[in-house]
Amino acid sequence: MLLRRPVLIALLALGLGPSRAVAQAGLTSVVRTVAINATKASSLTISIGSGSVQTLANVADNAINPFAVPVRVTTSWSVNPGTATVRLLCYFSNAAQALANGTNYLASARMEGQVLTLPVTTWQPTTWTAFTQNSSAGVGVNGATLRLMRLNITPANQQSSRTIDIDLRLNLTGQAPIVAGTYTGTVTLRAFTT
Amino acid sequence: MCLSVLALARPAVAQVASIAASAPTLSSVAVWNVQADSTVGIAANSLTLLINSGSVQTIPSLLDNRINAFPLPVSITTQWQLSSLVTLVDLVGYFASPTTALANGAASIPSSRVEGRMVTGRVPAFTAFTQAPVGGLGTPGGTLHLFRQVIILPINGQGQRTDLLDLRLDLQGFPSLQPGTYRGTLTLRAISY
Repeated sequence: MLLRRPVLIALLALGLGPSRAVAQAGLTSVVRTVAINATKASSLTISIGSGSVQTLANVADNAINPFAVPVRVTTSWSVNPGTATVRLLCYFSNAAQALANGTNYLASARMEGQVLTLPVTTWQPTTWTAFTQNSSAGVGVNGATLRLMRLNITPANQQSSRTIDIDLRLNLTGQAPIVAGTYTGTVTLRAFTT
Repeated sequence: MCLSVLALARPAVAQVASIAASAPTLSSVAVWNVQADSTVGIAANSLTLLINSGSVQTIPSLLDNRINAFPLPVSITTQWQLSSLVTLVDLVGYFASPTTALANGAASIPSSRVEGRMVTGRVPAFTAFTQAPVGGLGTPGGTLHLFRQVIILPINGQGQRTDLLDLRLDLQGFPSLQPGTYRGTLTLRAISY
């Protein structure tokens, strides 16, 4: 009984020694496993860096009226390998009433845009193009849309971004003089994947 | 008569004291071992590992460049019945491949980005699964030594302990992950020496 304490101390010292143990004849338990799942969602965002408000101080009838500064748009994405394309377009909600001044309207056909950012992608309007295109994959409004970008997704660009400048103008060439006043409207930008 | 019965009820104590007094420490250890065998009985040595909860760990929305903690710990019970006088029991967790602890197709997360914490064990702070095998268990660079239990036959030759293993993914400074679900298997195993 008297020797129990020193013996136990010695035994504890054995057990609490260096962390590396030399395997002796012993037991191993059965294997247990923990399944680990962690999911990262795809993401697709657009941001307007500048030009979110476009203003023409003096609209001239029967003329082309360019807006002073472009709309700078950045599209960022992190998508699955199975994603085929990233697309960007913009549209008015009503082709016949893109801009309104009370009950006086300007059609989206009078609004034109172009994108000169390089390198040029599919869909990119490199010349002035009216907002008269149709929706794509259910995004946009038929007859009031302008397609801006369509990029094929490869392993190299599954996570990437692209910034473009959209130039806008109001083409009133051939249009009857419009009623004086301020015409306001909203262009919606939207990116999507297929 | 009563005194006689009491004396019979304490033979073990008397024996130990007697032998220990006349023999070196090592000798008394041997005697204790024999006693232990008779005390434990004929049951075979055993080492059992149970996962009480948390056998499936899920992060539904992984964030890049962040620490992503799994919401619930893994509850692990280790049971033993051992007849050797002194035994060490180690609990080890490991991934089969350190470079591909979790995989999402060709994309992967290495075990160095998976961290575990067992407050009641050897890793009270989050530590990556980057250690060497323990007692031959585990994979080099993909292992975490979770606890070491000292078993001393007269004290805890038969026993169990329950521990909680917290897990997290440390993606700080790691390149942005490709979207999708990263899956992996953490193997847990106990070994006695």
